[in-house]
Amino acid sequence: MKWALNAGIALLLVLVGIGLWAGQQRPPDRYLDDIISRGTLRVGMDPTYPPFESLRDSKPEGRDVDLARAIAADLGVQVEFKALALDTLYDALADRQVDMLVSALPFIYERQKEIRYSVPYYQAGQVLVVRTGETAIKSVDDLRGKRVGVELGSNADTEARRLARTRLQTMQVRPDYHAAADALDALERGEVDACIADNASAQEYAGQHTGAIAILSPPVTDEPFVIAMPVLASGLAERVDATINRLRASGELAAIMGERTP
Amino acid sequence: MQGSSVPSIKSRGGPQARPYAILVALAVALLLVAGFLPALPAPTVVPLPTVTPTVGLPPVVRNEKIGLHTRLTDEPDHARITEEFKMLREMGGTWATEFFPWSYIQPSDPGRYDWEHADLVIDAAQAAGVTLLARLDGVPGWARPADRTWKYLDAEHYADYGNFVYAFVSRYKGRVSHYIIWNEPNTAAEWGQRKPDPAAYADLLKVAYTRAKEADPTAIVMLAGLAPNLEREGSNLALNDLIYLDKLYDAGAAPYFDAVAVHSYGLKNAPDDPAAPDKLNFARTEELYSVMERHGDGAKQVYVTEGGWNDSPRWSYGVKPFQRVEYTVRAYEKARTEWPWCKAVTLWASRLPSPAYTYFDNYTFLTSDFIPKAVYLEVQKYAEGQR
Repeated sequence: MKWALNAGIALLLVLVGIGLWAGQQRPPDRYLDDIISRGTLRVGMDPTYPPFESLRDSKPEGRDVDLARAIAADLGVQVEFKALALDTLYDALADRQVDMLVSALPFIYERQKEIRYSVPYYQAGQVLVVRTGETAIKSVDDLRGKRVGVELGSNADTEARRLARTRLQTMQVRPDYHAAADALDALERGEVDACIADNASAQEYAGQHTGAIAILSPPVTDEPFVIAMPVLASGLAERVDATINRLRASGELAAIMGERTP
Repeated sequence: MQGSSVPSIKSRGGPQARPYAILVALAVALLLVAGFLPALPAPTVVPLPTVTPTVGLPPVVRNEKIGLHTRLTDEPDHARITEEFKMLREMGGTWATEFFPWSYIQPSDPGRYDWEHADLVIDAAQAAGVTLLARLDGVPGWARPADRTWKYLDAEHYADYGNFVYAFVSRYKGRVSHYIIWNEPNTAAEWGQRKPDPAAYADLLKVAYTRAKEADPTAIVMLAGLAPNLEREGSNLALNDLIYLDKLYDAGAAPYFDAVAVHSYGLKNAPDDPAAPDKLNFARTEELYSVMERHGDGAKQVYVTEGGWNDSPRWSYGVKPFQRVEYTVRAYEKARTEWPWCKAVTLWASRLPSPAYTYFDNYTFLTSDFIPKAVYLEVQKYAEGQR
């Protein structure tokens, strides 16, 4: 009986050893291998969405372009951009016309059978904005009884009205503005107590009106941008995530994405 | 449940089961360490679809032309179908256009009908007090060659379509009064990847009209909404909707429709942007009506069965969100005050069963999980006379 127990323990240790050894072995990723052997990372994007991607004199520019360049540099390859229509991006990835999509894309749960998404690299959701030095409003819950400015018809407007209809029934939504910047101007003037706006607009405003507003965390809605790769590109995804995490840790990601306020 | 043969949780998780649980846990741990299991997906919050509470009581509607195109073809949930019509009524809408694909109702052979989903939609619309404009097209596999799209119907099968129209109208007479025959036949895509052919559509219309009236002499048979476009004659893609309508009259189609469906997209233009033959805008509806008048058909009613504005920042024809709100409200008001020949305006679209994650999402009035967008709430205010 003791012999059997010893044999069982030995077998278990062997299995653990095999497992640990296998853990060191990366499954083959032909997508990553192809990029390295080709010497070029092919990036698909719809270049009609500044400041994330656009064309100037037929050359791509923008935040996603800079991010893709950083990924290519970490991989030690050149980068090549392929301009595609938004609704053809995933088809181009499936056809292997491109290696990845870096195009201000949302995370789509249903696509995960075919797509491997990177870690989020940008928060595109709605954010709560107050005047610098505001102490009474620290989160959405503090908006009861407050005047909240939003861009008429925007996602921020929809979210603010949803909050006012459900959790925050005394919040006064002021959908009187034709752009997020107009609502933020009203905030600066004191016409409203807070604003809800998309993060990109709020960040841009913060950059242009230094010290005027504060963008509060966490965001009101969670709408991350991610990079899309083929589901089997596990090695490539690991390298992409490593680059994003490195850039985030160094503060370069915030700079690339134009984020001026934590 | 007593007497059940299903083993109880207790019997499967007793002390004797514990070693197996430990082994399974160990195996999973090993697999994780070894990297055999896939990485967890990128962290995000995926909202569960829920039917949210309604947003208020049906308003006192000051514009009886307000409506939306619902998109319930792929919505199987009875509660959601019911909620959608209820929320349309609460917005102030009393009209809806909905597509009833022939291929869904008569999928396998000419002798079998599956009415289950159509029943759900039509019962829910009726219960909510919404008048449906029922669009009928989408050819089943048995009525077309295998290598053709579901929008392809050759003349040999017009009678099959006529039989379907007859069966549909017979079943729903008294509950549905308006029937749209086909969709955008002036485009190759909707005409089975063939060059648009007004005379052939006129023949199809004649068959459908005749059979609909046999089933219900009071049925209102509507000409298909044409795709607004400026393609020249001879194009393989489409035929200009004004020219197409003109040719339909030339082909003798006039006796075979009681009303005209119109697709009226504003694109970048405001609803008051004046109509012109070379312009694509909301007011193009007036150009189509002028063609009708020219052919002595001005007494017939027009129904806008698709149309509206899109506020996606990622679509070249998108407008700003505030413009979408203001244009939409103004469009309903324009139809009420300036278009006496227009009976209803069902803009695209109430809601999608699930998000498309493209600019298409920016046409809707409700999110897929029934959160009213600002445009919905502003139309509701307008309908209540508060705007």
